[in-house]
Amino acid sequence: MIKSVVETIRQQLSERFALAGAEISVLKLSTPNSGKGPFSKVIFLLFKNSESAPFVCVKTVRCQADNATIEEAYKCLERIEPLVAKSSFIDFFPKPLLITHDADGIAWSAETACVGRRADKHDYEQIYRSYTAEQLYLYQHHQQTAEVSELVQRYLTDLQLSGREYDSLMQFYRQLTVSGAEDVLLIPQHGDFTLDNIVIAPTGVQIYDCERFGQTDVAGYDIFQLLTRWSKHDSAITVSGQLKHYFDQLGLSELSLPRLIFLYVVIEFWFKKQAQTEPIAAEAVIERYRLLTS
Amino acid sequence: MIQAMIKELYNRQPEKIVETIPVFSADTYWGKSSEHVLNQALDCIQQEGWDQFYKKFGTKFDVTQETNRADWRFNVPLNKDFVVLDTGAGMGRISIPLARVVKQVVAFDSSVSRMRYLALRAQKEGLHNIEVCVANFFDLPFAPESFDLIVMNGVLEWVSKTPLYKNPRQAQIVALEICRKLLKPGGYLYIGIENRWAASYLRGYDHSGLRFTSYLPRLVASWYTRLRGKGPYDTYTYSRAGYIRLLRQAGFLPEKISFYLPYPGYNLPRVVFPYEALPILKYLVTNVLTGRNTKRRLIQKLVSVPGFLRLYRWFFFSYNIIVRK
Repeated sequence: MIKSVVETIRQQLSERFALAGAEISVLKLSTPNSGKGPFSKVIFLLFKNSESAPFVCVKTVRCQADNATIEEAYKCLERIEPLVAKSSFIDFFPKPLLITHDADGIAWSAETACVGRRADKHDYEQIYRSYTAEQLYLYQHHQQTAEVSELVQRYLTDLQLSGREYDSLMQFYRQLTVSGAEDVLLIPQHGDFTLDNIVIAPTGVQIYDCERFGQTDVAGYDIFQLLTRWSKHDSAITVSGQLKHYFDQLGLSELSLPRLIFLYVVIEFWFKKQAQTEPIAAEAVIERYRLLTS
Repeated sequence: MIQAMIKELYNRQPEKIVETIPVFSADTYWGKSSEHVLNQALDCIQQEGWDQFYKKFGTKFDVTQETNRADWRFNVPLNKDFVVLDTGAGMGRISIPLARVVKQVVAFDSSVSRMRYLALRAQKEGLHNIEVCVANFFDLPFAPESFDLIVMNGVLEWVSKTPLYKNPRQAQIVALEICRKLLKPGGYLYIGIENRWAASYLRGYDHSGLRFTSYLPRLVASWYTRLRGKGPYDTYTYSRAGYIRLLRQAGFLPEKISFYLPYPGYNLPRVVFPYEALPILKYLVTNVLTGRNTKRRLIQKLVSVPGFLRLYRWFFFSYNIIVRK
């Protein structure tokens, strides 16, 4: 497959990447979990001549039945591009280049490669600052809000819980302290904002693996995701403290944080539900919330 | 129906048929657990189902549900018309993922029990294009030029365990000649195998079950293994140059041999890149394999030392070798 991918890239992207006469080598990559379940991606990074960094990232799957993974991920990149096209965040995400199928009908897509070193826990400040600025930019251009309780109900309905489980979670939610505004901003979220998907490039932070982009637009979810892992490394960083700071930056200082954090937990399970068939237990949601807020 | 399939695929009649599996040679079991345990496991699959099998026997065999074991195949221009021979197919780690993307996989092994497992697994996965048989590598029941791809994943080092050849190298050359004969013109041979000089052999065990034997001259290694009660040293592995010499002797052209470096190893090729691509190796070390342990940090520091990457490559654990007929 690599051979046919390289041929297509040569034909279609030759001018953009000056590929005439260039020698192209390919690095095949997959994550440790790729191949353990359905819809696993395989990545090819294409290198030109003796250059030390890839110029194109190709994503594909192992069999035709998983094609939707590639098609959906590519659509996400197409959605992102116009959102940041006129901003300084144009290089924040990969740019879609092409999507096609090989001779046997297996989908593959090409996007610009995110080149840089993998982010680590020492990069927190830079990632947080850059990401908040990007969110502020998106918010200024797409100002929308929604009621937290409505969102909680919507996501809980999607979890396909039994009536009893749904009621117990709604009851738990209503008991949480109301300490501020009942509204939350709506800004498209990356959806998988973890260190594994962030590189520190010479131009700044870059975020890849955007196949969940826009699946949720509850502002702060990405930061919440990053923080829940981060707080393990650094006890000075607390989920509620940092979220408060994040919303301050966006100009929303009076927030009902307990209820908002509950919403994020529900969204976390909503994403989990997409990858698993087992039902979600209300007790697990509550336990997760308590763990994060204790 | 079985007879029709046999007539189509094989160039001779089997000695016997066990549960639809044609058996062309003596049944020789090999594996992590005993044959008795495997047969119990097979009964469990047939009587209680797969969930019970995984519960009771999941850790006792080298079974896997993962589809990434054959990821070396992205460097072979496979298509839906390919007919593939998986040699020493074992429990189907390669046959299963390949069968999803090619026309047919013919899997053989020396053990009836292991082939029974593979047949059941193929059935479970709904893959009707896997044919299994029991055969001896040196007496295969296939007509010349039958296959578009032949897979030798962790097999070449073991073929020399045959009593037919005294010299292990000779046995390996004959095995490669057999593959060459069975390949269609322009067909591909894939070999997944360790590097004789792998750094991991300084810490772990060679195929002989002893340390350092791949590093020793063959004769000395053989004295040593005999002395330690392991019989003669016959599971030869080679350096890249050694494999090229071996393949040349078997009639393959050196310009049609490509080497790839898999990480963490040929049995789980999560990362694969061409042997020649040192910039990719540098990129990997500095951007992808960036663990914080002492070994990784040391390698990252040494990466800019001239010649280091070549040295690092020299000690890589294993190779994916793709040879075109």
